[in-house]
Amino acid sequence: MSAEHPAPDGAQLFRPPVDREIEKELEFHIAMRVKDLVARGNSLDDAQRIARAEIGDMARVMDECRTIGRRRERQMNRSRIVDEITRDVAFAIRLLRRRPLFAALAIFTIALGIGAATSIFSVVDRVLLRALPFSDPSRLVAVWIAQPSLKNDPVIARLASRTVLGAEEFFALRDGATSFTNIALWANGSAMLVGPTSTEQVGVVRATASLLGVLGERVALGRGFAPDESVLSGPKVALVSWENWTSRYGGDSSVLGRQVTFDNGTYTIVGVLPRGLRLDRTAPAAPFWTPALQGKYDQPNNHNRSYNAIGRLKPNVTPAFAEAEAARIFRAASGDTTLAARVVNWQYDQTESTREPLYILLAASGLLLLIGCVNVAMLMLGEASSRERELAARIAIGASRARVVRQLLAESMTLALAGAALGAALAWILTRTLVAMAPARIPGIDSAGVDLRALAFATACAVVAGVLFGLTPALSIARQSEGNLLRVGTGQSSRQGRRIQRWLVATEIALSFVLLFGAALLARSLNRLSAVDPGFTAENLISVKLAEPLAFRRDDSRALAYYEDAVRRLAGLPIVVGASAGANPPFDGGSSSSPVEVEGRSYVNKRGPSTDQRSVLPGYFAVLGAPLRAGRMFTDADDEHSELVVIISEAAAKRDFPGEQAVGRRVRYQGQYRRIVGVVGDVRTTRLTRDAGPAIYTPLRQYGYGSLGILIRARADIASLAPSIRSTLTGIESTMSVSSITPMPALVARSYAEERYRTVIVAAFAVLAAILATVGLYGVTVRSVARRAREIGIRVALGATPSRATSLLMSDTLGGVLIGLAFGIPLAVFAGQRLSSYLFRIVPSDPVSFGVVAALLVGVALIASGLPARRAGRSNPASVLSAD
Amino acid sequence: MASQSRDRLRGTLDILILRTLNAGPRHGYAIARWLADESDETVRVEEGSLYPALYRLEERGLASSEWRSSDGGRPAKFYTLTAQGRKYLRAETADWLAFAKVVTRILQPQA
Repeated sequence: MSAEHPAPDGAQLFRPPVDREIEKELEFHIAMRVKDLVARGNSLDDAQRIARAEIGDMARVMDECRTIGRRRERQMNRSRIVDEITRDVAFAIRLLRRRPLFAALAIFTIALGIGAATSIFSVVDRVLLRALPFSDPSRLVAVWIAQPSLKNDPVIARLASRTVLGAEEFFALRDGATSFTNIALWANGSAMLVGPTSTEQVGVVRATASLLGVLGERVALGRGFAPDESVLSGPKVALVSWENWTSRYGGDSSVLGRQVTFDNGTYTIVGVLPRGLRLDRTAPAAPFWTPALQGKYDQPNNHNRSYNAIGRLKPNVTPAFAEAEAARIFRAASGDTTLAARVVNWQYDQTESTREPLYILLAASGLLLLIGCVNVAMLMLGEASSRERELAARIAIGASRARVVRQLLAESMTLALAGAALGAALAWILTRTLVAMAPARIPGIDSAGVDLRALAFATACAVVAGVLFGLTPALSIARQSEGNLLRVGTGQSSRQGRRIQRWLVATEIALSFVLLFGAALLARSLNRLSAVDPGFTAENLISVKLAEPLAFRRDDSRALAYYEDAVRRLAGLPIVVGASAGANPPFDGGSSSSPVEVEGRSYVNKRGPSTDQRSVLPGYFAVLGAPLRAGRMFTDADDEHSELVVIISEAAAKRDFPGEQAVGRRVRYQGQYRRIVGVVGDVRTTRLTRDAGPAIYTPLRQYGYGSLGILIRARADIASLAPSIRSTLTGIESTMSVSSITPMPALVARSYAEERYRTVIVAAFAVLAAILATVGLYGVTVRSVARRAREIGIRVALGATPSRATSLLMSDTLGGVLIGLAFGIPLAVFAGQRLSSYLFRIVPSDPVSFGVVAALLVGVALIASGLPARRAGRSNPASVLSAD
Repeated sequence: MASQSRDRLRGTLDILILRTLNAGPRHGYAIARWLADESDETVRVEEGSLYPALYRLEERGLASSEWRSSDGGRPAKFYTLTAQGRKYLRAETADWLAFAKVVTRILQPQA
């Protein structure tokens, strides 16, 4: 090979920028060619011309090469970034493995925060964020009648914005409204399913034919209801849920045409509902559907409102427009000009009362995560300061500051992502716990779990967290001057690092204060709530619900005879003090009301105010433990042959007979005049938070309705009573089945299960936060002691007392704590105000909560910073000075 | 058809360039000269297609490049065959020879 095809000899040279590379290459090419041509005898001019001509269209060649070159450079940059990240992360992992304790502590702290936040997110996502599994669910709206005039009614205020619909409103809407493509009625109910050997209570949804269409669903098998089936005494046809079909009917298509017998007749199965279809997300899907509006009371002009309504809005129709239209139609249909309507997105409507509490939990978990981040930032800052020598050396030998910062960020990201992985595992467990302990009334929570969306959330948390706690030490390095960095290598800490540390302590304390204060408010509120006197004695009281056989429902006198016999026999059981029965006993979820008019008084529309109503057996108040305020209790003599009598509650007496004697007066109730013979104390029946509304009681022998519950008062140990109660009740009537035997305190507690649920969760987060704060402050002080050991040693050597040395060492940490309190208190006040609608008899600025939390945090700070500082203050100065 | 033959031509150019680099790193001008010399000037690779071809080979990872000073002292861009390029050259050469053999056999006047 000659000089014509040379091998490279020189060292590698700097590569020209990609856009100029081809230009240089062609320049070289032409120069060489010209040299060759001249050597062969061409003139310089000729040679240059020939060389250029050989290349041809130079501009095109350069263009093409530039395009390829640029493309290649982009690819290389991309892969270089990946390479660098891989290298940084590998290096970070190597460094972290050398400090396993630090790494484990950091990863576990992050995992705790991310695990908590992710599990709450997975619940929030399922309940609130993820759209319902129907086609175009944003067009689905709940339709309610609103009765704004009832807003302040003590008994039926809940009807003010949410009154269910009856047949007449439904037909008026269906025929008159232009806002909906379709509208449907449905109601949850239950029926006794009569089997060959036993009867069983099953859930039954009554639905109009249009319901499936509104939801955008189709039957999986057979047919749906026909519009003309929802009429008085219409054909008895039924749909079965997919789940019921597969479990009870073996998933066989022969189910079509089969008969099921309920207590109100025999139905023919005509179709199978689509898989997973669920209307009420707080309960499993009802196994059967039957046509709505077939009952006698369901007909128009009966004014019986008992159906939920759901509509599908036409495109471009807003809920507000539909609401205005529905209100007009309701007013026209009922002649009641005070009526209004409520048309709201269906999912929003279902979750309205759970929305804000869930966001409060999410905020609480976010605070915990932030506290975790601060902790890890403090850890990393401490680590960075103990690695000052290494970092300074690396900068000194030429590592760029950016490179060191990047390395620190890689380290924090690695920690954060490892924490997220562990946190996701933790979230998996936590979410199952959250679901398992959730009260039944949170719609859709049963399907919550850690899925891809939750994992994406965890990853996002990790990235944010990694930047947050990685940036702090990185900034402290980046902002220091070169000389400073070299000096810190000698172990003298920088003022900068100490300032950042103090602010981290302050942030930790402020955030912890907010979380602990919120938890304290909720806990104190729960405490007040559970201490409310319901107006009766819940302890040692048992509530029994029965599923009455069909014969009882048809024959009131037979049912009455049964209950009278049952309470007599139950009262004879050992350790039972007494037993009675009544409609809608306290805290069983049911209530009903009717108007009551005082004799001789005139009322608007001739209707008196709504009053809670209960028909009871004699002895009811004694068993319940509700005190008599005036007059007498019911007796066995108050029967169908004697004068019609009622007992009213204190609230009713106050409302209807202010400053007057109620006993002896007469009221018109259920179409007849009845004499008031007694006044009893108010009894809370649905929620402890709600004052008992005015109530009226009738003897069952004179007026009865609805299904009854039995109350049993025992002396003690009510759990052991269940078997004998059961055998007594079925012994009288073998077709009677006992649905539930529940201690009253459990029923009362169930009424504030949501409050307890969120309080327990927030409190758990607060406890974790307190632990993190303790660990964090302890760690900070330990390190600040280590950093200032020499200085303190000198001071002690020069005569400072141990206690002076100790307080000097603590002052670093405590300064941060004080700043933290200064910021935390106003933040906590703000948080308390956000909580105010969830607080019961506790003001948002509750001084006790403030005091307890402040004392707790200051105590924690004193102990966490005091221990290491005291140890150092007492150490032998000589040993400190000779170290290093 | 036309584009197919151009593809084959381009593919052939690639092999020829890689073959040139097989002997050691070369700059573009040397590659052009070597090709001309080896083929007794019958293969005239147009510089207009040589350089884009080199860039493409580099993009595909078959060749790599670096700037060094040539023996004349001027900085020049030297192309080197990569391991991947060597493998590619071996496979393509075998293919090409097989193809050429078949074409040759068909075109040879029957004796």
